[in-house]
Amino acid sequence: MAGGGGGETDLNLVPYLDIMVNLIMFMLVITANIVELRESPVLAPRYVPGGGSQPDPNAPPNMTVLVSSKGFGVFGSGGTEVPATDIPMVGGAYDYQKLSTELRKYRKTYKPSDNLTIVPESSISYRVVVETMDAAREDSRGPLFPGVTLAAAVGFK
Amino acid sequence: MSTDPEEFERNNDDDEVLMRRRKLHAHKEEISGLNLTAMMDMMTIILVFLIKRFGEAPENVAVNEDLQPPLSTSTSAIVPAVAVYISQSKIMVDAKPILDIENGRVVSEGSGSAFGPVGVALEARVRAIEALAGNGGTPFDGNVMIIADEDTTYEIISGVLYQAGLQRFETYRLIVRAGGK
Repeated sequence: MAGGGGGETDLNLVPYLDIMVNLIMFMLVITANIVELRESPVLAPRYVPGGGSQPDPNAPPNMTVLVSSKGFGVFGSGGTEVPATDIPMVGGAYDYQKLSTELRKYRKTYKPSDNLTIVPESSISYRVVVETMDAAREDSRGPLFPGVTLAAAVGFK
Repeated sequence: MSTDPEEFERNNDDDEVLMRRRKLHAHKEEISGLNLTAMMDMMTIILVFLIKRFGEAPENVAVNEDLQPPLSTSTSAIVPAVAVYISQSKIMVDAKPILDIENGRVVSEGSGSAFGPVGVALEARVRAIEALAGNGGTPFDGNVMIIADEDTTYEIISGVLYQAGLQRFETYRLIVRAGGK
């Protein structure tokens, strides 16, 4: 207090409050522009030397999903014989539900490996690739193929 | 002291009036100043909450019309890594523009691979990480984050992934928006 009277004075909180309000406004504006993001890890295809050798007949099959402009094609490769399945588009949209159902059937019948290879056509949008991965990773009953490898047809520049 | 009952009553009335005035005065003093402490507490809590929420995301990607990652059901938290951004108009490596995209196709200059400059930028990034690792930094782990617009064609995505694979990146962390069906 002026004059050194030793009396108690209240701290002026108004400037502090102004700073707080400005900071909160700043944070709100920034967080409004930030969308909650997650990641979806995928593996790169591996080069295995000696690819021409005969596959091990006891090895679990490796499942592959082809994504084309007409729909999905599911097939297996490896030791066990696995029949292929076509899942055409329904009303111009990809049938992700059917894909999950078919993959669940394959999982139950042929006991394939946990890794699935997705091979999209070059004209397929990234949105469709991610939605296919989501449908292949899990369905309402649990995990399907947790490991996803993205591959492409050879020949791009 | 007077013993007159009338005078006694008058004095008593005066006391009551005085008491009422004092009470009224005291009440007015109570509401004369706004107590800001509670409001300050509230503001501090809101600010701490916002800072905590902001700090939780290791890679804060400001999405805009040019760069809208697709929606996904994935719940994995983002692990920071070398970032490749593929918007509708540009390909960037760690926020440095590398290639232009026009009408959904990469604008290539020269006769080499269209995605070659991405490989060169990633190679430089790997060399920098390895140089840092040699001086006590984090070793190169082969992780690359792909932050791409949902309408990007797979031709561009696979071109970038191919270049990343050539530079010993083995795990591609596709960045997606939470909230897919």
